[in-house]
Formats: sequence, C-alpha cells, structure tokens
Amino acid sequence: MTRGQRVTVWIVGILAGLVLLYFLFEWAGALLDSGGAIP
Amino acid sequence: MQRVLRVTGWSFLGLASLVALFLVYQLFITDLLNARSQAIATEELEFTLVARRAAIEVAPTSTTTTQPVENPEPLPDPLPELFLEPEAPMGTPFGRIVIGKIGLDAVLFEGVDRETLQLGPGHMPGTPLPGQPGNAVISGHRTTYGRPFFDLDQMVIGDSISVETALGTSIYTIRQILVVRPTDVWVTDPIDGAWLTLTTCNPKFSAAERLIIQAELSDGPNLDYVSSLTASVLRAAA
Repeated sequence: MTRGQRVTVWIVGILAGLVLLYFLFEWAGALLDSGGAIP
Repeated sequence: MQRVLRVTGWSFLGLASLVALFLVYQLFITDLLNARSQAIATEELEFTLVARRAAIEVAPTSTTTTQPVENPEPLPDPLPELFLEPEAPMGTPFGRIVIGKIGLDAVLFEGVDRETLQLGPGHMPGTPLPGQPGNAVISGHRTTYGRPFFDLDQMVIGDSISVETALGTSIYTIRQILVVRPTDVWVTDPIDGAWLTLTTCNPKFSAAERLIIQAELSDGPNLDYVSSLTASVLRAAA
C-alpha cells in the first residue's frame, strides 16, 4: 500500500466514523430530549 | 494480566471520552446550531410576515362556525370578524413566541418533525395556527437545541404567553398544566374557544413523559369572535 493510499484510507475511515458518531449521538439524544412532540 | 488491564483501561477511557463528547454535543453544540438557525430565521421572519399579512383572509362571519354545536343558540349576526392566515410551508418560520417570565423569545416554525424542532419550537400541522379558534399545538425541545422550553415547569396557572404571527399578537393565559405520556394524543384534540397547547419532554433530560401547558386566548385579533362563539355555546348548554 502506497503512502497516498494509506492517507486516503485514514481520511475515509475518520469521515465514516464521524458520520456514524453523528447518527449515534442523534439517536441517543432523542432519549434525552425528543423535541417534545406528541406523536 | 498487565496487557488485559491496559486494554480494559484504554477501553474505559475511550468510552468515557465518547460519553463526554456526546454530552458536549448535546448540551452545547446543538445550542450553537440552534442559535444560528434562530438568527437566520429572525431575519427571514420579517419578510415572511409581510408576505403572510397580505394573505390574511377575513372569514364570512354570518355563516362560519369553527366547532359543531348541537342546538346552538342563534349567533349574533353579524359575528365579529374572524381573521385567518394560511398554514405556512413545512419547516419555515411563521411567528414568534415570547414568555417573559422564563426569558423565552423564539421564532416559531411550521412542523414538529425532528429536523424542524432542531430549528426552534414547531407548530403541529393539522391544528389551528396560534391566534385562531381551536387548539393550536406547539412543541419544543427541553434540554437541547437551544432548550426553548427548559424552564416551562416554572410557569403557573394565570401566567401569560404571547405569540406574534401575521395576524398580530395573541396573548394566552395559562389554565391547565399537566404531565402525560408521550402517547396521550388527546391533549391535541380540538377545544371550544381558542387555546394554545405547549408540549415538551419531561422530566428534564428524559423523553419519558410530556409536560403540557394549556392556555386560553385572553387578548388578540380574534378575541371578539371567539368570545361571541363561546358565549353562544354556553347559552346553548344552559
């Protein structure tokens, strides 16, 4: 694996992790405060 | 053994960092996101209100009733004018809610979906807009996204809520405070007169229940119309 490929893998991995983290936080956040709407 | 301890320690540290990051995101970053949305919406609202004021209709008052009433007493003819504004497109700002007692001054949006409530308190589609006859329902976050309804539990019966829309400013007086389950949809049912129902999560930092505040119109452009109808319904029931 070239240096460029390794950097790409890291960047993609970090971005994917951030996206995953965002959805995880939003899901968990709805348990704290769902917005108060009545379904 | 030492390796196991080291891995366990790092795992707990990682987990703790994740929880800390989560709390920072929920309690601070969502506030920043909401502040930005509210600032943009405040500017947009000025133009929206001008356009919406032009679309206000005066309902034909001698034939309009908002609630079906059995054996109604004759209504005064003509009734006072009823001002109606069209429902706003989903996710757009259409008014402002002000509760001086708890320092709330927020732009209202149309809709109660997840994305809209992140922008600010939202009006539940299918219920009348604030200022109009019926039960206008507004939901808002309690502890995240600007926490507009954080101190709603400090309100007591008799306190005032002000809502500004294209119709003008409507003042409501709190008549009822409830804690219900999230599935108690009856709190959104139509009510005789003109009411405002605020809903938010309860207790703080939990979505297990809903804190409900129901307030009755006590001043505003449609007060004369609503008072005439209410008086007629009361006479019919007597």
